[in-house]
Amino acid sequence: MLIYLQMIDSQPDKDKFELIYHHYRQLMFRVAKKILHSEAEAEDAVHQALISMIKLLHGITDVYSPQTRSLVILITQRRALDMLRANSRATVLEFDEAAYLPEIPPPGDHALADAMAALPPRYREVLLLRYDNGYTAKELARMLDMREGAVRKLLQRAKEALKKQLEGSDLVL
Amino acid sequence: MNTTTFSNQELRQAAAAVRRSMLEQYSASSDDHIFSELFLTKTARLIRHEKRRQHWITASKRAAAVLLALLIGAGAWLTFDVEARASVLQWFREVYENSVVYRFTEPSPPSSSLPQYELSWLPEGFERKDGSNHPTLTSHAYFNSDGDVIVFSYGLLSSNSYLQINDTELSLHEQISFNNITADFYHPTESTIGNALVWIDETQNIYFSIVSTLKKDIILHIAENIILVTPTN
Repeated sequence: MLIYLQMIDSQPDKDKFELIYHHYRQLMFRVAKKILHSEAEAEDAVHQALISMIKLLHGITDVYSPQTRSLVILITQRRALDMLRANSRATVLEFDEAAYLPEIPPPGDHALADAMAALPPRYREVLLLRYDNGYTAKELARMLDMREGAVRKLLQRAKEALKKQLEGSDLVL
Repeated sequence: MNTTTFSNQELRQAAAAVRRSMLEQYSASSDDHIFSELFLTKTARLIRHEKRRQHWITASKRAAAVLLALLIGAGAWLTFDVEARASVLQWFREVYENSVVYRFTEPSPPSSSLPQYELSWLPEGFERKDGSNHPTLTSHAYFNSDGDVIVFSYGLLSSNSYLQINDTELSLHEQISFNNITADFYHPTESTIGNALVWIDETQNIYFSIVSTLKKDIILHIAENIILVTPTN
């Protein structure tokens, strides 16, 4: 191989995507099929999710960590829901994402975590990506195909929804 | 806990707890899906493109650093003789078993600054994505959506420096001419590897190189359309 000026291959960067694909493709398919109920459409969603993962590789330090597993699930869910919405002709306001996703059991802290688990999927997703995966608003904008200002607004609304969830429930602060 | 705002620490802990709860719903399954040929083909292509793209992103970032290391000799390049000299730069090419080295024999000083050059023509779809600028070395990388890359580099040379191209045993080499310039073209025999075009401007003590996954005629056309943007002081 012609190596111009002694280039040193970065093994982790080069192979990270392939590792993610082989390790998570079955999980991604199950996540997508739960939403789309069609094997062909689920494969399409997985393919779209893999393309999205390419943009996120630099932020992934451990392919096998629980945070990466969670990221893969969230991205696949998002791609599957986007496909479903596009096919349903429903408007953004009419499309109830929660109806297509499995409920997340309350973690059991009777406080912030339980409230977060009960949020609408869009709010919960952006809070997990921001505070568990550690992506900045700028990175989230790129990931979700949104403007950075819109992402900041979404995060703000998510936190306000979290506050309302806590205030309107029996959860103890 | 503050009821009006949540601290980042509180949000991180809550998010981690929600993540654990979410992951429990997707425990391992023994029922593996057999993916279609279409999916496997599309994904194999995606993996190939991503590997290629990552390889050249790494290369473009390291090329400038490595070349700079090659150009820095005993430190004499730091002391510039700003007086004009009539010496003629002599350089010659040594071919070793596994590499080619361009050496410079006359003690001519480097120019006080590096002129700025740009590529005035690029194939459609290419965008400049990365680059580095140093007083004596500049390197720019251009990518397209297919994973092809062009790395354009140029730098000042002196007797304390040399330019080395490695692993040439698998490459074919030829001398070619363009714009009254004689250049060395290295193109390997494997289709997945990049080509390299190298030439020296002896009047200015500047080397140029274009390394790319594109074919020779396109690389030549790029080289023919390099323009001087800012002359040296």
